[in-house]
Amino acid sequence: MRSKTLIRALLALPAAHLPRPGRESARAGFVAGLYLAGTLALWLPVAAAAWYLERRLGTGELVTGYALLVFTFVLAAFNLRKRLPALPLGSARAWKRAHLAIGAIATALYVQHAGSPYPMGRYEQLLALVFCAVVVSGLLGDFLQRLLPRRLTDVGGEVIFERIPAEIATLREQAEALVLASVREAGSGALSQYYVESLDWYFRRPRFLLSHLTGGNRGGRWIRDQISALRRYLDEREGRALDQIEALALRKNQLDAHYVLQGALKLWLFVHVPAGMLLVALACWHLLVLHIYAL
Amino acid sequence: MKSERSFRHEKIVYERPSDRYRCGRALLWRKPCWQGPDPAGACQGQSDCAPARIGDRWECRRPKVAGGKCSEGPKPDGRCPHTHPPCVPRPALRRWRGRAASLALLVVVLVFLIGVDPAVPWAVNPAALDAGELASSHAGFTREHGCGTCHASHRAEGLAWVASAFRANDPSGKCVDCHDFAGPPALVHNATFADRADVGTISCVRCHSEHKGAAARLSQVPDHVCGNCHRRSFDNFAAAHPPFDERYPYRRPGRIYFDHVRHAEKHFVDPKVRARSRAVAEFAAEAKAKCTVCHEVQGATREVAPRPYEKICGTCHDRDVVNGELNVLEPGQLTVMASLLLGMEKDGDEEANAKRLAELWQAVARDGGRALAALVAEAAGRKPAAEELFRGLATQLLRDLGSAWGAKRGLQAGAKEGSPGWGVRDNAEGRPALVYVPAAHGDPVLKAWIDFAAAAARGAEDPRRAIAADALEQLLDKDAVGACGKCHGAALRAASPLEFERAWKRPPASAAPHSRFSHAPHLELLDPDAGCGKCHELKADSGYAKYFSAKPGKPQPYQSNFAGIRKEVCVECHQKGRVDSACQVCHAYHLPHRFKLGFRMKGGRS
Repeated sequence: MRSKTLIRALLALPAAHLPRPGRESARAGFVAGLYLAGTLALWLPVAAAAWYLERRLGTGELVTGYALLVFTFVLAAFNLRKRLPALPLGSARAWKRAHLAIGAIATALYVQHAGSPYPMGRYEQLLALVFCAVVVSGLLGDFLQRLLPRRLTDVGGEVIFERIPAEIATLREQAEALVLASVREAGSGALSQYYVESLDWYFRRPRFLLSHLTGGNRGGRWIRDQISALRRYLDEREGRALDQIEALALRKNQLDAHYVLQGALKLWLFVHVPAGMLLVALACWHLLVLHIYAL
Repeated sequence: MKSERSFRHEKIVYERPSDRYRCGRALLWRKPCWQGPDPAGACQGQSDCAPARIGDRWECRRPKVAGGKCSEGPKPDGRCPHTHPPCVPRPALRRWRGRAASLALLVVVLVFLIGVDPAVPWAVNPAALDAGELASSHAGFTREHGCGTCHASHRAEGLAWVASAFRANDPSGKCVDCHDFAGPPALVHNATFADRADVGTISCVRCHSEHKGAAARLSQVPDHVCGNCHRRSFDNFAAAHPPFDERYPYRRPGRIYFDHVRHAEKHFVDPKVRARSRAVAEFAAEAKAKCTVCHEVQGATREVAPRPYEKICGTCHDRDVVNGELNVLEPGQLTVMASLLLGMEKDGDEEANAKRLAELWQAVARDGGRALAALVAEAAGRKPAAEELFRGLATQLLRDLGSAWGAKRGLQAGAKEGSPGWGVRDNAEGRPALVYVPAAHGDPVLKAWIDFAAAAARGAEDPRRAIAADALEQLLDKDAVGACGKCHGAALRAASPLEFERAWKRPPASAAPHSRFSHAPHLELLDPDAGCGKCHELKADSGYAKYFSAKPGKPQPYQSNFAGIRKEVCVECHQKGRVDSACQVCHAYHLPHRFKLGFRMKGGRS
């Protein structure tokens, strides 16, 4: 079941899972075609010019090199665009599509430019490694951005990532209040003892992170196991309190899933953005050294 | 979780993703304060609010998102009664990301780009300029001066170094400091081509890429590089290389008339030939079976040279070479040699001829060889030739002969008939004649007479030229003394005066500087005794002899008695998956290469 979800996510176009009326679907296809045509229109002339020059003992690598530099700056500008949301620079969605298209062109041009997958020079090796890091992290990020929003939709609800700690704290307070009320009303310490021994651990912070990341439901099963094991020792009044605590635990389980999935959507950028900045710096250095020593 | 309302968006302070710090309580999974950290990262949540003084009273300013105004209200001194221990705000994710990027950049700049040598703190680290290891052939002599050996801009410092990026820095100019070729180094193929005026100069680095590792072979370039200029570009020898010329590689005749077909198929199997002697029979039998009997395969490169005459041809032909004698001077008769020396035609005025001869006999009787030397100088314009023409001839013998000829008497022969060298023989009238018998192959006197006649036939004026031409033909006749013309005739007839010396010798290997072939590795693969025929196939009906036996003034086109080598023969081995078939296996781009003197002094000291 999980693999089917994964395959669907890989094959799906952005937001293709959402039901669309026919006209909107046609428009999306037109836009996708437009981007594809734009990608080819950008890539083919550069690649062909470089190929032609190389076949004439010309400096074809200069064409691909300068094109790569320009594309690298355009790709890096996506980060600036996100910092300037107020400026009318086009939608983030359009920028992202352009980012992907130009990234694909840059990768193809890099292969043509470098020739060898592992250059001999040390700074060129670093440049190649950084380029690979940017490409691989970018592909991973795109994959996550196609897969995880669907998973978040499946989990249900919406919550701002930065607000999750506060939400967990609120749920914890509510659960503790229910336990205290139950002790006061029922005069039994079974629920409170159980809460201290087991549920308190669960409400402290997000749990079962790996299970949520891989699409599992260990958290839900754990809650059901704990609740059903305790229920036989409780009277009717404590049982009602336990029902409310179970509902809070299930909400917490959803928050945990949001925390992990939204976190994953942010964490890949910890590789992609720094590596991208490094790539810009090393590309500029490469250009300078090339002009000083070889052109 | 089921709706936005359940999260009380309207009651919670707006979270700004671009905030640089986050509340430390949230990171401990507790409720964050409503104020959040200030932009500098200081905690602002030590109290629930900052009460405001209205007149003489303090009013609570706790917002609704934090529970609204408290029941207790501010303390008399204006402080909030709800205090909390301060938290330690932490940077937000975006700030961590920025820090990671800055750190990566800083590490690269500090460790990689900026020099780590404390003595030169701002020098660029060599690693930041490392374009890859040099080929082993270059690594040695660049060790002392490093990059500056080839890259002039490397020696600039500071801003000048950066500014050099805006100048031309093609390192090819430095290549020719050490490398020299038989033609202009910058020209394509080091030569000019009449039919390719569009091809001019080219930078070395377009074909030779350095910094590809110690094991890289700079001289080897991929086939498609050749295709950059050559109209027919291909990278598959077997499928696309043009077929060889039908006469390849036998377009030009050799300097020796040697008919391989007649020798292999007629002479070597002729019972009469084999009956001459046991040595001849053995040689003929071996030579018929093995090419290596005549051709020296040891150390063979472009050509497989034949063994010396004495070891192969002489076995059968020595008796032709030493057979007969050259009748040089004879009283009462104008020999061919006398005619050549005196410049007198045989069918000229008999009385004048007789008078001239009589004068000559007197001069010879008086001056010996000097009289003949004067004649030679007059005929050929060069004195030393007389020494070559009459080498070994005793002066006394000449004087005696001159006296005998002048007195019209006989002379006792001094040498046994048929013995090599100069001698005296009685002619039909019983009068003595000066004759020469060649000693062996390459006899210098006989060779000198042929050269003398050939030079006069080219350089003298009529009628001496016609006389010399006639003499040359007689000397080069296949039945003439020494039988020189039998093998050398065609080459000598075709040679200009300056080429006579070379015409006697075997020509050097074919001068095709842009192609290369070595027999050695092929002979290692084939049976050297019988494998030559794999490529060199005899062609019985070629008309090879016509060129060599053509009459003067009626030259015949040359046809080899070998069939042209076909590309398919090479393809049997040289194809993908077998033996390398790259362009450079058989073709050389450059003209012959040599190093310039003092190339080891590169780097500014030379």
